[in-house]
Amino acid sequence: MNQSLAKVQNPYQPSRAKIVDIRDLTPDTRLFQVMLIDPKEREQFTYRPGQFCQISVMGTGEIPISISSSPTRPGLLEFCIRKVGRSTSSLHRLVPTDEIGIRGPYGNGFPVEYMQGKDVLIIAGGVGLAPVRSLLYYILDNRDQFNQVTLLYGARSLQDVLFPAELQTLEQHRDLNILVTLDRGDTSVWPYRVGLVTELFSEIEVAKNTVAAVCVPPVAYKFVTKELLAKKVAGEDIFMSLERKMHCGIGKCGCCAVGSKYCCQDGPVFSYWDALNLPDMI
Amino acid sequence: MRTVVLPGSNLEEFLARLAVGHELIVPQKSGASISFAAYDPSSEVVVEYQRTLLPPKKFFLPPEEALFDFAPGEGFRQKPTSSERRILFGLHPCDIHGLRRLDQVFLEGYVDTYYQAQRDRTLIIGLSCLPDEMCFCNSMGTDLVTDHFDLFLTDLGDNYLVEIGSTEGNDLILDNEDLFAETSDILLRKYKVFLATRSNLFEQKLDTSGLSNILALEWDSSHWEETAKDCLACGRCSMTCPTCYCFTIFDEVNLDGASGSRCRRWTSCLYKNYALVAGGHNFRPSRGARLRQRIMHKHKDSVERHGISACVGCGRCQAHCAAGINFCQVLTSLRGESSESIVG
Ligand SMILES: Cc1cc2nc3c(=O)[nH]c(=O)nc-3n(C[C@H](O)[C@H](O)[C@H](O)COP(=O)(O)OP(=O)(O)OC[C@H]3O[C@@H](n4cnc5c(N)ncnc54)[C@H](O)[C@@H]3O)c2cc1C
Ligand code: FES
Repeated sequence: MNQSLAKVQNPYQPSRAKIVDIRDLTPDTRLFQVMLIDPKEREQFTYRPGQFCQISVMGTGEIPISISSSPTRPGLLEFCIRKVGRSTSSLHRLVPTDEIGIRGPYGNGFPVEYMQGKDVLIIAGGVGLAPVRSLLYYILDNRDQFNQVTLLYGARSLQDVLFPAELQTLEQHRDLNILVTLDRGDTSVWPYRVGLVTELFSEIEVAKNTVAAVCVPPVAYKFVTKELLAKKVAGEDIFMSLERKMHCGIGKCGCCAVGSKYCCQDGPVFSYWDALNLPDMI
Repeated sequence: MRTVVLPGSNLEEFLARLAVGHELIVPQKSGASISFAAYDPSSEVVVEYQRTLLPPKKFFLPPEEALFDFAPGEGFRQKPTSSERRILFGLHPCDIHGLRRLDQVFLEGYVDTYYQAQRDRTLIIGLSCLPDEMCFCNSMGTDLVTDHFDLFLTDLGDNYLVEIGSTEGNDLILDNEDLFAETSDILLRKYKVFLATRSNLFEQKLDTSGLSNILALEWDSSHWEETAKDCLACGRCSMTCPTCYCFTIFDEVNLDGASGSRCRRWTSCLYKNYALVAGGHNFRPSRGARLRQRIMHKHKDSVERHGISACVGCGRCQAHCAAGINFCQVLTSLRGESSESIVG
């Protein structure tokens, strides 16, 4: 018999949370501002950029979604959710004051301490901007801890650019370098660039002590890491936030396994070195 | 370890007494196979068997189980778990090792409270066995157990040698003292003879030396797709495996369309959609990649993660494979291929 000493909390228990506001970002992506209902849970909820939550809509299920807000701006949690299937569609049907379930935060997040004193190069594609937006605001709010900061962001078309107003404002920050490109579109309007996110590498200088944070669609990691390695970024300084099918988020259901690692717990952020070690990672 | 003797003729009475005050589960005939099922006085307990169809994991991680009830405005309410005392009788060493592996997954890190509740209420009484042509527990080092049981019975003819693995196990002996006798030297000698005899009976063998290293090197082997040509991707190997634990979580809605339950259900990495994410990207689109995942997970990834192979050599995967795949053979031919490539 396996007598456990202390009764522990049920890790599958979602906390009740209220939707405070919903903003349309693109035709298929919305930003949800969410508040945990229990004041004590709200107070205790701390997280790191790059971590995610399991979000429940009663009756449809539970899905992993990155926290898109920054821990440096406490209060509401923000989730940027693209409508792609069952659960995400039912989230899109909700309205402010509706209730959802949240558990987390899970995963390792980006190594912000390690990034201190270094150049940070952030590369995002599509909805991959969601987790790195958390990192971006974290860096902005601790700006003096980091060196040069660059964001390369690719979207399908102009209407698919997430947070265009935020990006345009940030672009004007002299201490932030932001380059946005579209898969297709008109080069006469902002962001004035058409091409894949990898093509933006030709426009930037990459200093020696650069750390990269990458969140792109699964097929794009190979191409982005190739560019980074060509720019002499060390493999162990390339941090990629990876997507896998996740059901539990806590290392039990096995669904997110990548070799001996669990994406939900050991990740979702992995270094390029991990990817070399685990052949089906990227 | 403290040992006592249970005369074979007292086993029936011992079980009948255990059934009072405990939910007692014993191996029984079920159609053409043997399965662990609830004991009642009329049930015929099978003490000589090779393997049950489903391993005992079904008592700790049921094939499907409700985790919560939910209703609008009420959130998710945890399903109450039973705390009735339960005894699982007749587990072979491989299955006890299987539970050890599941403990590593479910009780380390975040504690799975559902699994824990089932584990906490259950006593394990192990039982010795003899191998058939599919068993290879002695290759995996899982043919004996020294812990993770409360009592372990070794069949030595007229008597069972009973090893006592816990204070709760000891209590079961004390409560039924009249059924047990002290160990004798003759029995201890018989026990050693039993061990020696049994280890000669294994036909199926698996060379595990350096297996995880070899697997890591054989990642790109054509063997995976080759073997997978036969694989039906039915997941039977996972369902019958004592250490496969993968599950999916989903919601079931009641007729009112609003309330319901959140459930989990076993799944298998061999299923086509297992690694499919929204947007249509499948991380393991081919059957070969999925078969490789299953074998790698057992013999390599678990070694890296938990320091121990997740295969306990019970032979269920190959005994029940609808396509007749023999996993030991698959591994042996991979080893063969690697030694050839080093030589040649
Ligand atoms: C760590 C992590 C962070 C993520 N962050 C975001 C984010 O910030 N914004 C965003 O829009 N999307 C994010 N995703 C992807 C998001 O989880 C999927 O789009 C979502 O699960 C699709 O669910 P669905 O029911 O709408 O789709 P369906 O295709 O209908 O999926 C059905 C079921 O499959 C499972 N499933 C399908 N795709 C995935 C997937 N990619 N990951 C895990 N489970 C899946 C879910 O259990 C889901 O209920 C993230 C994924 C991961 C792994
Ligand atoms: S999501 Fe279940 S183990 Fe990672």
